[in-house]
Amino acid sequence: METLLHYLNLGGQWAWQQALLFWPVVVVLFLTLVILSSVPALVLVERRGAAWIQRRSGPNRVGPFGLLQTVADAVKLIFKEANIPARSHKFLFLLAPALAVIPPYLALSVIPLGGDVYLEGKFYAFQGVDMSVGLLFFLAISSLHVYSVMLAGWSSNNKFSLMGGLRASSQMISYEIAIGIAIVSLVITYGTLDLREIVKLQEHGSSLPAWGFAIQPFMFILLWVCSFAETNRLPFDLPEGESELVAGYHTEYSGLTFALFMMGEYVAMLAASAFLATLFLGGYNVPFITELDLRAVFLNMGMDMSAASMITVACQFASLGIKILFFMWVFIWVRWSLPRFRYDQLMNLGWKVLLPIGVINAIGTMLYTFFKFYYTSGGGAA
Amino acid sequence: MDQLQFLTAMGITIFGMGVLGFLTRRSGIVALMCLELMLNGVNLCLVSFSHIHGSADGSALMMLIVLVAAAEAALALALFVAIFRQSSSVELDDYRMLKG
Amino acid sequence: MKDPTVFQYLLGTLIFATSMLTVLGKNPVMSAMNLMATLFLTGLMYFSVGAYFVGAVQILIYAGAISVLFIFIVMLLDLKPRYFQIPGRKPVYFLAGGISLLFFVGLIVSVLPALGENGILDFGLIATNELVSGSQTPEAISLRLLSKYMLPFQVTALLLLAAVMGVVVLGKKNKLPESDGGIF
Repeated sequence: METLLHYLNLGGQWAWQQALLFWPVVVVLFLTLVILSSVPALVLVERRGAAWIQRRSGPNRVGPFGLLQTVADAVKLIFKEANIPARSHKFLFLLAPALAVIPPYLALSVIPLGGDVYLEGKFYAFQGVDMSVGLLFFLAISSLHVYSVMLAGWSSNNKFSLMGGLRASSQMISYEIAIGIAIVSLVITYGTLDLREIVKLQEHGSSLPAWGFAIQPFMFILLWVCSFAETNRLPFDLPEGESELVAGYHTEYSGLTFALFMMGEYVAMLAASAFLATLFLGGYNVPFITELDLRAVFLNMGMDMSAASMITVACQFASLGIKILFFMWVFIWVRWSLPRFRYDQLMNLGWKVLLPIGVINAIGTMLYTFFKFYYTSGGGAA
Repeated sequence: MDQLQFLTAMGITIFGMGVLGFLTRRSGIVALMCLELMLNGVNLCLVSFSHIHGSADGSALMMLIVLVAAAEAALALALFVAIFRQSSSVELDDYRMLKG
Repeated sequence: MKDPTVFQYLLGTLIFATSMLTVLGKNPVMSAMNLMATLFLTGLMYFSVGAYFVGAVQILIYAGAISVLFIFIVMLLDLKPRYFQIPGRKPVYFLAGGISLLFFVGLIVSVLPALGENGILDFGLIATNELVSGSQTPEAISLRLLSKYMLPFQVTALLLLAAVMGVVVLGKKNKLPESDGGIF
């Protein structure tokens, strides 16, 4: 172990304190558990929600109220043969489902999940990776999501898959530009790329107007719309439009490879929801109370610093979870309420509506920030 | 070996790979990929020099190179699509008549 | 002096392998995928020396946009591997290998000694021991871009505009009356 530590340039002797060097690993393992356990639940919520919206029963046979339906589905998918079509590119065919899950999962690791945990005389941020450019990192990693769809489409040796892959890539590139422009406004507003800093800036008493959606309402709506396109959800699910393309890019997938695509879609939705919640709904902040006040409440109840900080973080994580669940429910709600766009409508919306709105908003934000600086600093720097 | 030396060596290696590919591959699109490799090697060197000097100059230049590379890739790929429409081939050897 | 970590050696090996596969691969889609892997791993290399902003930009633009364009075009044109047979002209081949080897060895010989043994790093001419943390922040880079490199920055914006217009013109279907041969 010591040699390993030495080679990892961590140095020093093994001790309990140094277990905390692996604090990010602990947080990421926690995140993994949460994701793995929430995806089946979300699939069930989606199916029951769809049934509820369409006034039918939905899956209600397996277990009490159909709660075990996704478990049964998982078992079925595990035992199904993962078929690889003839004359497909086998390596890329198997790489594509993996690439569907990994990028959104990596992207989730920079989302701040809670405040600071006090352990062994130090505060540790409850966040997988506390990165100074978290915002950019999130965008960068989630932009790799498109590869799964493209590669699945190309390697399946199926013309419907290829059509789905081509549609997906052009759609996702187009909407990434709108996202990038929207992010410009946000970076000017917050003045930082650090997601943790952004959450803390929204804390001010955690009164609702300090949250991002009140400061940049247009960008909130724009990013929300784009997140539907980025995760290939209705009304933007052209890549898998079943009325035209069988099932789009995952036509040829079965068994566990298909399950990975399914899981990737939900993890991407979780990541997009967490991103929106972090930027616009105050992240892990509990409404109307700051982190210090919340911790003080628990300290006054006679807990020590460590326990109080842990319970505070638990409250904050629950708060973030509720915000994420709100966005997830809207994803499901929209899917079963709106019809699908036509392809030219989709492109027109991206390039001729969302992009100009983003540019105009960015210019407005720049002018506002400049004149605010100009007047508050007494006539500018000159 | 220093970390930054290692980075520079990697950059030079990638650049050499790019040169090799650019000179040997006869497909336009793969040649373009090798051009990107060369730019990437240069970027790696620039960033490591920037680190060595403790200033942001190299990184700023790297940003400009990335922008130019993006513009170049988009434009060149559009050119290849236009060329492909004419004669359904992107082989560089098929365009010897351009020598004039 | 700070030796490269195991992680960096691993990254270096992977970058070497993927860039080699980009150059030598027969299948253009695999070439493009290996290009994407090279660019992504280079981004990780930037992360490993603490240049987070540069690394994020590298992954965002190179791996997330440019390689997607490459794969998209290769898929769109449906390039078959048979287009990519290496022609059997040996002299050209050796010439190309020689030139790139010349570049490689020349650069190594001229650059690395200047850095390493009794070079800038050893003489401590410049403080590099803790890979200077303040110099690679977004603030520092953007201040440089907006002051010293203001003109190149603006010219790049013009270049991007020109590229967008050029791509639109090139991408349009040829509306000219059908003259045999078109451009060529």
